[in-house]
Amino acid sequence: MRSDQDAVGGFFEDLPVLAFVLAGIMSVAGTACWTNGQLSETDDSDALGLSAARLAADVVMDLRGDGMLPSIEAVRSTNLSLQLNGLAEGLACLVSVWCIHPDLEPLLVVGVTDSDPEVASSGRVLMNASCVGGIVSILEVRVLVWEAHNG
Amino acid sequence: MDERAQLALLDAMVFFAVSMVICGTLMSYVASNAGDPCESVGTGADTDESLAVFLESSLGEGFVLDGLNLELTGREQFGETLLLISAMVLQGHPVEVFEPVLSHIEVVLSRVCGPWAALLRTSLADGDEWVTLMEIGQGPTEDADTESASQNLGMCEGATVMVTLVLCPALLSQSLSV
Repeated sequence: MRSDQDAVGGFFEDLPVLAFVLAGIMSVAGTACWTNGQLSETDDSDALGLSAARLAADVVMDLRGDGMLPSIEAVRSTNLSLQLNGLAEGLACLVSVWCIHPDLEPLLVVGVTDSDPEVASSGRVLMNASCVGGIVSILEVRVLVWEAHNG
Repeated sequence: MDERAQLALLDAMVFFAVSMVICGTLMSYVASNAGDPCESVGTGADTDESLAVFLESSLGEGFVLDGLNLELTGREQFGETLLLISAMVLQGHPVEVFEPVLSHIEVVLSRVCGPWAALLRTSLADGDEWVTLMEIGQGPTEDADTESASQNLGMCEGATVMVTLVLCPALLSQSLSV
């Protein structure tokens, strides 16, 4: 038999070459998949954050009404269904309005919830309201928005 | 191993090194996009808005400061109260006399700004410089990343009184720093 003079190396000599090449390809492919997943998750989180901020701003605008200082009683009886219905398709939310000064008490809790939150984003806005006796209180509007998973 | 086989192995190692560099670049890109949790104070509520809402709200609790013959009904706004206290401090009254009111302000501030640590600084314009009259709350450490907002309270003995709200992550405030 005649030896193969043109071959780069024998089978066992090529194994380290193959190992380095495969390891390099797998590393790049794995990192690319992971990067794609992470960036997609970040985009989803940013979109949720934007939805939460917009919903919180809408709720505060509705509570403020005509620009005058709203009363605590008016806030309690506010109907926020219009704002909740305006939420993008596939999103669930929970809106709560708290009086944090002078007393700490919940005033209003409404939400569209058909599933538990997994990836969620929150928003928070402060505003003033009038209490009995001419005291100006501080209200906190808290919004939690997440992707609804039906079924 | 012949010479050509050694060259092939060298090429493979270079390829592996380049792929490692690509992996590192991708991972650093993701890390920079994710951001540092302490990079921004991220108060949720805007600092300017928090300060404005706080200053426009009422004390909510009455105080009688016997030594000064001063009575606060609780309906006074925080902004008005801070301006009044600033004027009395300028007249020579020590800040400690107002301790009950300042403690109340600190409690309300912690509710408004929580979970972030808040420092409320009242300053007086002295030419081009600002002189601190009083500070309420916990100050941030020197290297802490903070967010601040200022508002003009009004004039006091011909000088402008400014109030500044400084927010920082609670764990980076001086009292809780490790």
